[in-house]
Amino acid sequence: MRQIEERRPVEGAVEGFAAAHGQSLLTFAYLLTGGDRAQAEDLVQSVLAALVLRGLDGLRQPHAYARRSIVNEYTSQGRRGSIHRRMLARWSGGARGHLPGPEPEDRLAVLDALRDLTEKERSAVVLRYFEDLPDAEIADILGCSRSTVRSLVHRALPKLRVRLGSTYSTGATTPTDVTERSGRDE
Amino acid sequence: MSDFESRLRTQLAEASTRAPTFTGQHTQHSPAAPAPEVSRPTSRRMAWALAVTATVLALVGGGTFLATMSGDTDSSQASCAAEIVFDGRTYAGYGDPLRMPRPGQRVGTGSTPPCADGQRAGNEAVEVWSLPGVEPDVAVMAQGVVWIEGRASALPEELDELTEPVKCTAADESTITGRVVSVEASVGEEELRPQPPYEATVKADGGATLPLSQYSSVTVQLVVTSQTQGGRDAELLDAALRSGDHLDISVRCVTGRFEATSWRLAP
Repeated sequence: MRQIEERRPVEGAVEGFAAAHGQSLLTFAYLLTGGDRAQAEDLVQSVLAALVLRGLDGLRQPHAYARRSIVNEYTSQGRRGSIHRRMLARWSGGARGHLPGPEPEDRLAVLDALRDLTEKERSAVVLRYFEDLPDAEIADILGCSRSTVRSLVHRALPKLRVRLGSTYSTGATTPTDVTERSGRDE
Repeated sequence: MSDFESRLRTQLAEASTRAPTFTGQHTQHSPAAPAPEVSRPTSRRMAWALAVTATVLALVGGGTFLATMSGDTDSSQASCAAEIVFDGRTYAGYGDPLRMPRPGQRVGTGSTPPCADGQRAGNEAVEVWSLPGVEPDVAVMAQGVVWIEGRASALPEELDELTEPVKCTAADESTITGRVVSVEASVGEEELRPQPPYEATVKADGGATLPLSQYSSVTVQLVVTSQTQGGRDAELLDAALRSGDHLDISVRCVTGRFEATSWRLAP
């Protein structure tokens, strides 16, 4: 049996990974949740804790793995409902506990608009337009085909355009735009 | 890329600057939080469950009021506790009891109170249900959990049974279905695999030998031994913990404890 002290090298490796990539993962999770700080932090900490268990061995791209895990965890949390998240956020957050949701100062139009999307649509949008990933990689993360990714984005953009219409100047988003954009991973 | 997409990209980049600052990895629960009752700081065991599930486990095993949990914080935070207001009364969230009752009649609509730190607007509507055999002015159900009226430090007598651990009775093998909430195990010297024997906490919502006619789910402590099929499967356990997927678990009763003979992802 390995004692807790002997486990430190593994945890240390993950800590190093966390130090290098924690902020980018947290930023990704923040957008993924539509600006929910508490939930984003929970997601990242959950995934990092799981990495301690799993270790980094055999992972060619730990950051990509962690990002995919965040998406998976986020999707499964959505299935479980919000009440436990609220309690956990309250408790684990100590004095700063509060209900999940964007901070008042974070109520940017784009975050509000993101929250109008389905989880998969939001994931696809953030992965494409923030993480700048090709459709093939987004498909891998979401566990779907590239055509499904294009469909998700195709459905999401009009919604965003409606919500953001007052803040954006005109700029048509057509299926053609989506197809052209996705062509780079073909 | 269209102009709209370019602007969307810019807006996302701007929004990303509002993300919280990463303050490091927290593999243990917050020091400010009460220690889960299952933790054994002097033992060789390592609670390698997720930080979140460790918190859940504390809710389950501790059976403590959330309002009490938040009692360490200063008064300005008191109203940020998990509370709802219904029919003029304030109820504190009890979290997950060991036996989750089935809701009774819908009794009305409550709301979440605003949080004193300004972070929570409050007044979110929540549907409120009675608990069978319990007056709504004592406790109610809402959002799938139990809420207790006031800031009592003990569970009302009517709800004592919710904290009773589920005991095993069937010596013959039976199957339960549920979600692994937490695992407390050591890991191997050479590879990061859970080393039986270890304990797992399962929130079970299926199983003929469990009292599920009365409760929607019950929390079961079971032992995974070296003979348990799948007991060393770190990937299975990792996936189960992270995704919350259900497992089919074959169990039997050995010296009064649930012992898993196999577990696998439920189809």
